[in-house]
Amino acid sequence: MPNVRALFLLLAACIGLAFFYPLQASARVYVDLNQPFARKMPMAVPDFIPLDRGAPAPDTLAKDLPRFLGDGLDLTGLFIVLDPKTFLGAGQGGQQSTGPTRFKEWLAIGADLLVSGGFRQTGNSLVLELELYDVFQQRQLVGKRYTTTFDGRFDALNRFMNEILLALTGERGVFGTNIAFVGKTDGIKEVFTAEFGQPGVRQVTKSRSLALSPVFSRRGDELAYLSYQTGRPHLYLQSLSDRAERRISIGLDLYLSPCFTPSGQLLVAISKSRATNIHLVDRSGREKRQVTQGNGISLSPTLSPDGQRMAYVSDQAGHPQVYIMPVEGGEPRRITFEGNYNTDPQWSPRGDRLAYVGKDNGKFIIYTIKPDGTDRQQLTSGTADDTSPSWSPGGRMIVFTSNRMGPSRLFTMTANGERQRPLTLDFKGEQFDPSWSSAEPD
Amino acid sequence: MKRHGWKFFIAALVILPLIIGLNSCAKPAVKTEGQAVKQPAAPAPAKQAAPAPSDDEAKRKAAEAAKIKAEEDALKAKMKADADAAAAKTKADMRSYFLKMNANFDFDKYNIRQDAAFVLQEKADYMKTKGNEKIKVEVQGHCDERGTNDYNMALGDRRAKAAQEYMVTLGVTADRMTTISYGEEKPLDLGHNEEAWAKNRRAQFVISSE
Repeated sequence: MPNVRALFLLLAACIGLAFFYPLQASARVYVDLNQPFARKMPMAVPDFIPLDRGAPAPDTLAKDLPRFLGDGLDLTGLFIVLDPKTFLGAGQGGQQSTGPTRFKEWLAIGADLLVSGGFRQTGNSLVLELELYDVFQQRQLVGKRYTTTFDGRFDALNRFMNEILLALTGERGVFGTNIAFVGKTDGIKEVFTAEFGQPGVRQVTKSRSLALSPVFSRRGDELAYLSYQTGRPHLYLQSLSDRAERRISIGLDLYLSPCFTPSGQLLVAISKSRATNIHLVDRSGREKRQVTQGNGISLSPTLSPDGQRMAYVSDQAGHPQVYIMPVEGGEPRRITFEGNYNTDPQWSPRGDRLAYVGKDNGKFIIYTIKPDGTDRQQLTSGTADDTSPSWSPGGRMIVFTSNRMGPSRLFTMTANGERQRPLTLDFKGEQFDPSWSSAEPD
Repeated sequence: MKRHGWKFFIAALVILPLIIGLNSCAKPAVKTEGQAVKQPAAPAPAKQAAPAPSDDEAKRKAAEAAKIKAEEDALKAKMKADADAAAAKTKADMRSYFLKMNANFDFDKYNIRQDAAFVLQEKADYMKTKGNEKIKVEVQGHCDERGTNDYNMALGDRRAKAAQEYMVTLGVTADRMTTISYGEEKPLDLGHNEEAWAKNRRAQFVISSE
């Protein structure tokens, strides 16, 4: 009879669907980065072990490397890196730490993820075999082998951390990308660069006086900065590959706050006799077009990712506020309305928010806000001065300047203000004006 | 005693003029520059009764006159040196005052306040003073340490240019002034309080050539 047949088909369909769903569920969603306060994943990073049974296990490899990795991943705000003291013997037994029984031990201490590492050091050569495991599903997510030197060990770990983030979030991490900053010693300020995730610094300028406000070009291969090396403040461009430096400010006018455009030109504030306004200039500093009009101060241009809109600071309201206008020209729209001192806007590479600095109760605070001026979020506490925000490539982190520890230092935090930590740098003096290269890592 | 009284009388008669004469010699008689110094010839009374001059007498007189002139010249030179030193001290004071007094600004502002206008008036007067026409200055604009770096560079520049423009309205020609901004980079007072910040928000003048 037809009804029974229909019922039978319906039943078959239901059974088929019941089989279908579990297969979908095994493609696990690890991290949705667009959920601002998503659950952090507990991760265990036990000591690394020699690849060859019985080989020596010096602390510089067995303990320092996992700690470096744990500290780095902690900065992303996506993980809870478990304290090794809580491991309670889980994973003991050398190379069998990731056998099926061992996964249960890691699960028992609450780890969702496990990073496991092995090393082989012969002379100056260092081989690292690194894996990321999903403890719950008992499977490997990332496995990499790096052949490097002892000195290159942190480079290798940075690359591995970027792979971890790619596997879990769909976006590559930013370890190893460049941050430029101003370092001060004995009253002299010079521009330096550092790789995020390593303490080493490289000096870029030899002004022997003051070099200020470095800004990376879009491809990350050039730096623009202000320098008093001739006795007057001029704007310079330096190619980071061959260190060739050339001046692009023309005459005696002060060129400030450069911003590179997608076509390789620059938006720059030029302070003339009557007013300071933003101009489009070419790579030789020649003025192409005046972008802002007015009799006061307009500066600090920052472009939306599509290059169509410009946010900037203007004092036309009597004190500095942030405005947005089309780059090609048009009416500016004010977007900051709280407080009477809002400066340093930086458009996120994601396009959805701007970071800026606002003064409240005498302290400087970093906020983010939507381009339409709504949904202001306070990222820093206002107990000290936090200034000069700059977005990481991909816009998931911010580097900034803070005097919360006394002397001015560089800090990083996530895009929603978590994990505020000082950058570890081989530089003893005060640090200012960071600029995070927008060039994606290799 | 009465028997010796006459001796005292003669002695007084001789000594007294001598005393008077020597006193006249010792004092510089002239108060103003340029006047010939005329010292009373001393000891005049002793010589007044001289007979008509012989050759010896003439030589002695010439030597005496030369000696007096040398003393006059030395005195003139000393007085000129003293006067020069006094004038230089005042000029150095004025120059030092010119360099030290700054025009100050309100936080986040670059308009010329009343007190700043007075300072700039004095600076204009100095630059227009006779003898100072060749002086050229660099007008530096500075901010306090608060505020963000780029904005402070711009603010410092506007302060320097505002001060320069005001000086032009006071009659100092623009070609005698250049401007430069130092943002917050060169504070006068390293304190972290309102008093220090108020001092650091300034337009400062430096002599670039003269």
